[in-house]
Amino acid sequence: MAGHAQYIVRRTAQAILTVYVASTLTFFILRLLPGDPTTLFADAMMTPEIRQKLLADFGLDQPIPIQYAKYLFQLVQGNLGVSISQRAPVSSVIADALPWTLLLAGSSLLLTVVISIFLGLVTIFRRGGPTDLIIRASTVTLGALFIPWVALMVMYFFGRQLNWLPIGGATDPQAEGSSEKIVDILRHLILPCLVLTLTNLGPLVLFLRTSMVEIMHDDFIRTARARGLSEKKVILIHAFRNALIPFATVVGLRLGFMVSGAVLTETVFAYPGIGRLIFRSVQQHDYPVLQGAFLMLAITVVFFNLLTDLVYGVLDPRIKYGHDQ
Amino acid sequence: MVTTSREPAGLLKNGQQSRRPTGWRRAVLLYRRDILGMIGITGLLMLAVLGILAPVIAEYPGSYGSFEAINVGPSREYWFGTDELGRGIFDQTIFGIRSSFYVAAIATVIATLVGILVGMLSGFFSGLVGEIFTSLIDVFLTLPLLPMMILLASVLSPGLTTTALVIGVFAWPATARIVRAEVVRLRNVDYVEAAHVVGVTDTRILSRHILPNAAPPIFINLSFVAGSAIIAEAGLAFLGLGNPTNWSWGTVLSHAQSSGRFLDSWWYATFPSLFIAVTVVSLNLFGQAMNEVLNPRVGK
Repeated sequence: MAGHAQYIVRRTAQAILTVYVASTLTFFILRLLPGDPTTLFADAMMTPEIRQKLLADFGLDQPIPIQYAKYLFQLVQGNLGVSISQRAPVSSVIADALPWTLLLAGSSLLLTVVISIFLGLVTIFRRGGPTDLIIRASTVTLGALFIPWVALMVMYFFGRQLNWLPIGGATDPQAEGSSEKIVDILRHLILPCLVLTLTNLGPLVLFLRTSMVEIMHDDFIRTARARGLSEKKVILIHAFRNALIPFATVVGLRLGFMVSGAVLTETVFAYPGIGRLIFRSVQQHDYPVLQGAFLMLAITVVFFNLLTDLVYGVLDPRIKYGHDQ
Repeated sequence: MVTTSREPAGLLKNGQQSRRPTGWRRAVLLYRRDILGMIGITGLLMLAVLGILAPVIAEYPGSYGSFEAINVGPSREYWFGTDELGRGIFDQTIFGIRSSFYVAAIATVIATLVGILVGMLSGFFSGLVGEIFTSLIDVFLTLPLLPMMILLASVLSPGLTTTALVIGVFAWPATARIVRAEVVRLRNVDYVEAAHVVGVTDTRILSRHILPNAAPPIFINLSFVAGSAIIAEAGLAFLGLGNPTNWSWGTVLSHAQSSGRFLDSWWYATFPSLFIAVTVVSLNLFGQAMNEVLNPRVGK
């Protein structure tokens, strides 16, 4: 168990380090801005005295190391500054948007994992045949497509032509009653979730297939076959269970891509999550919100990554934390 | 074809003891047998030719086009249709090849150089230095790429070179991880240890003995980095972080989005997107074929 405790401590330390690097990065990136944040308020009437006062209010008249320390201190307290365009604390602006992104990315992650396991297994059962080839080719091609365009096509087909589902936003204000509201939210979720899932399937299907193919050469598979087990049992019970462990790591590593994809998907569907918020903030040069949004997405990814690793560290007795074999 | 076939020859000149008996001729032969790889390289060459010939086959899109042809679907006159200002999507897409390839090339060079440096430092040095750089790779592999690029791009003045820089400085972790794995593998090889014993400096061991042998996977990785750079450029420009006066595929898509005719004029976004897909798939096929040819561990 000592090994496990050490693994958990090291993995957690790594997660904290990642968040720290992300925060430091945002601090210095925002220092690259020409001028200083007072110019963002773009008030031509601003007198030098007022400007000085503003600078002092923001703590910008102090040397960089002190500003940096203050910034980190405020960050730890959850203070992300004030949104320029909405004149509201960044933390509350983000708190409004984050649940939608978590809903979209979370449901899509779940769906991606389930579908890619299913398709991965199909390619193994039909290995070398046309089904195998079609699944591999189509999932890889889907991954090479530009997400906003896939979103457009899905909107056009399911929303415009078939008129099955709403093509924008996350809710319909006309929905009343809790059950109707839930159905409404789900209906708005389907299309963006579909887009995000389709474009993320490829690497997972391929990875599962490759590791299954490798495992199928292992001795214990030969033993299982020699014991007279059916091919179905060999694949599902023996090979698949062993392939799931590395698969979990890859799913964890895909989280970042998932979030990047969600940003683009939300923009096209006008889905009110962090991605949409980022798009609007880019248009309005709302740097505090951009900074907060990036940090929040980074923390989300790091947290779920840590969770995946810890769960699978507990599940797999062979795992030992270390960089080299 | 010429550049790809010369690459292994260059490696041999750098003093690599070849494990492939007949060198680059064999590599070319192997590559030509790979159907998917040939499709990939044909696609890339065709795109390159279209990009070079852009001023001949297309007209540089100005600030407005023909007033008689606004939002026209694909026709004989306008192959890919026109936008809300009457400019041909074909012209925009063809000139987009130049910008998109330019961004991809610069971003790939930056990402690869940074990746090689960080990967070598993390793999070669044990102890604190190695530990720090290894953590750095892990950290940047975890962080969501697009939001990070958005943050940096938003504070810089928009332009193709800026976009390439932004993509390049964040797209290195995958390369660094590959380089690291190679360096760790080569660190304990006899001839490297022998060089140590004889008193060869670390820098020289890294540049003369380890880097040339780690070159094939780095080279293979180039095409994958370029593919993600193309997609990243499109994403950044789509979100309004490109320079609207440079015609890259991302710019066309961003115009399509901001014109509000994204859904009604399907051709507006479709053609640049198809070009993106063809480029990325071609690059991936090329990379996979090069892997089959150059990687001694993928034997048939």
